[in-house]
Amino acid sequence: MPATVQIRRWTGATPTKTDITSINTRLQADDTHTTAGTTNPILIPASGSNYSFWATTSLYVSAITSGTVNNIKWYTDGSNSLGTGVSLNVSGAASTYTQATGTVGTTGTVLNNTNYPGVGTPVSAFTYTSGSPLSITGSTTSAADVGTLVVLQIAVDSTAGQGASATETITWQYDDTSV
Amino acid sequence: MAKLQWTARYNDGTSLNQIDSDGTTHAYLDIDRTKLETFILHEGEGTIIKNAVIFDGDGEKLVWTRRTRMTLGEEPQVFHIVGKKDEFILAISEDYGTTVARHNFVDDGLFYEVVQ
Repeated sequence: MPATVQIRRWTGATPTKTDITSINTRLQADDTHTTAGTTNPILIPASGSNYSFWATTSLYVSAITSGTVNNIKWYTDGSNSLGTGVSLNVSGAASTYTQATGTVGTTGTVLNNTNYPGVGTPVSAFTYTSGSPLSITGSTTSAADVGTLVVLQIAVDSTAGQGASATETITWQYDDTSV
Repeated sequence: MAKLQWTARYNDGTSLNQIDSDGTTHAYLDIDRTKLETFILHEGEGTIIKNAVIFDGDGEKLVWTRRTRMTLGEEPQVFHIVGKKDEFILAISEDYGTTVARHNFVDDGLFYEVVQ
């Protein structure tokens, strides 16, 4: 059997790890996973930027036999379809989880190496495509979280329009030599 | 159950199946590359061969992995990456059972180096 692998979003202090492989997840102004929640949208600022609470994601191997999962890549379609004034930043390399913080219903704390130790400098997620993906360090031969964490954050500036933005597609790729 | 399985045929007439007919499984790392003659990808118990890589004393160059693309909310895409290290690799779609591309150094993300 090929390894059984999930994409999971980490929220809360413990944290809670939610399987989002077959669904979508929203980035908004609170530290929760939801597919359609509208309770705490990011407030459009009068100037500058507001942010979503950052979203920590990773791969999780729930079952594997006599093999290795490794060579993990992460990428987007390379095109920002979120709308005017809305951007999506990503940072990899964190091996230790930090819970997202901020002002619920207004803005999250900006994602950087000070607020989230271990992450690299965030860049536009759309710089990572299938031909130029983000490489994720890590491998496993047993059931476990695998690879460093991928942390996402939406930034909204004053030119953004109200309402839910369009969805974006994110892809994870990995190699698996299990039976 | 994976749609495609491998069989390693050796130059002494023996072979190693990823999954034997009685369900016994063998790890990829169990392949004896010193006597590897042919690495075959096939459906089920081998009646439909999808790909075969032939070796001539260079079995140590064997590369194989199952490369999976998971896009949120979509069905995973599975490709078998198989070939000879530093010579060629192929990507074989598990869903369509066909070789979808040959390494031509125009990288669409399928042909990243296999880490083995």
